Amino acid sequence: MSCEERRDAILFWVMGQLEPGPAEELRLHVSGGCAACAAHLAEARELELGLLLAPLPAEPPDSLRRRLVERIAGARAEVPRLAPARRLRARVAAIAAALAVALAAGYRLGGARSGDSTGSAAPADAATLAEELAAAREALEESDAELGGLEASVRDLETRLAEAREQIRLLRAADVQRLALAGSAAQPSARAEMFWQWRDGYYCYLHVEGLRAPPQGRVYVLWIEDDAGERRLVGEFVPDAAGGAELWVRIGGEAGHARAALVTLEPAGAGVPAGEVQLTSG
Amino acid sequence: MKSGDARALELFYARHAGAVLALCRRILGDSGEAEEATLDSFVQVWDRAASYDPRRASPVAYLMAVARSRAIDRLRARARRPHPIDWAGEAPAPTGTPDALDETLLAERRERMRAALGALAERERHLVELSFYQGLSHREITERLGIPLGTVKTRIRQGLLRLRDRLRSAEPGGERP
Repeated sequence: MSCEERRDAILFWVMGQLEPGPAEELRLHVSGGCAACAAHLAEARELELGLLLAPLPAEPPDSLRRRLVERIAGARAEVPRLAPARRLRARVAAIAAALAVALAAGYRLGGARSGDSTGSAAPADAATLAEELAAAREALEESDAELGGLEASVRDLETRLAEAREQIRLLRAADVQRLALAGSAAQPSARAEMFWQWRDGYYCYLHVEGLRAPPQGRVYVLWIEDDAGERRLVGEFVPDAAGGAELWVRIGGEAGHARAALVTLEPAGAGVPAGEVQLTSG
Repeated sequence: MKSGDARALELFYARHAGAVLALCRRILGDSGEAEEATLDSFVQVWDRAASYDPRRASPVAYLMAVARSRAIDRLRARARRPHPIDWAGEAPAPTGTPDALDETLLAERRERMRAALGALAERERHLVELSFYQGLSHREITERLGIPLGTVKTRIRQGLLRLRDRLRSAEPGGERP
């Protein structure tokens, strides 16, 4: 396409009438310093401004100018008080986002190690997350008593960050073991993956999708079955509204090799697997 | 305004508030909401004055683009659509503006555009206005008017090209069709 041919396309681009692909091509071309297309762009901007200015000017009421002055004055007064809060909120949001990325990346990596073709991303850098957390603490020190709620959020994120680090470490470990669990007839849409590793204890991470909400007074319970066929309680959990759940447990003592895993539906506090099997690794 | 001078904002407001309010009324068709959008626009320009880049747009172009966005945001936020405004029924231009030369140039530009819009075929002008002043996508216009998608796209593009050509020909020493 010649630059003369781009003239129309530039007009359509400026006026929001061009599809994203051709628009991006034009943007790259114009930003490359083409003088002819820069002139076409200026021409299109003139037309845009003409349309913006086309309505005959109105007479704004005096109250509007007063309100503008008040808004500006109010914003100035608020800035010193709210700036730390805004920074901290932004920091908390950044940590939360980083945490989500870390967990997602770690989970995908776990899938990749176990042969899941969808796994590809590297886990987020824990050091970066730590820096974010340190910066959040620094911002917190600048804030006042109004920020108590946000402080609690940071502590919660700190806990979750520590858990995320452990999960990522587990999923990245060369000797991590994986068991895929399929839903039984009672839960045909459910599926889960359990990752486990023996270090100074038995570390287990369960990721579940597609579970129905449990009946009142019941919880889902994850059990592992060792080489001797003995079932051992790992933990209880309740899925969220979307049917998803995660369970992260460290069990002390020697648990041996987990050759199988299963999830049953039990009354809270059950010590032995007596309920109906919901998910099993087979 | 970059240095936080409120007097500069007041001057900027005095010079352009009429145009901003008119644009917001054109989009929103409601004077109360149009005033709110006008207020939002000047506050946004003030808040972001430090990051304004004059190489990208003139101050008035930047302000008017902000106003269009804020007004369309409000339009999309409410369920109902605005009542169209009759061009002839709009308020007269304010007098005694601070910069007579700027106002003269803007007024000339305005008149050229209004003449160019008025010369468009109704079917093209209506679609250009729906697209530009109400921020409707091609598909939304298709659904609203029952016109094929390809026709909507073609008419808007033809309308824009005609507007451009008419503006060029109306400029002093400009091209003649």
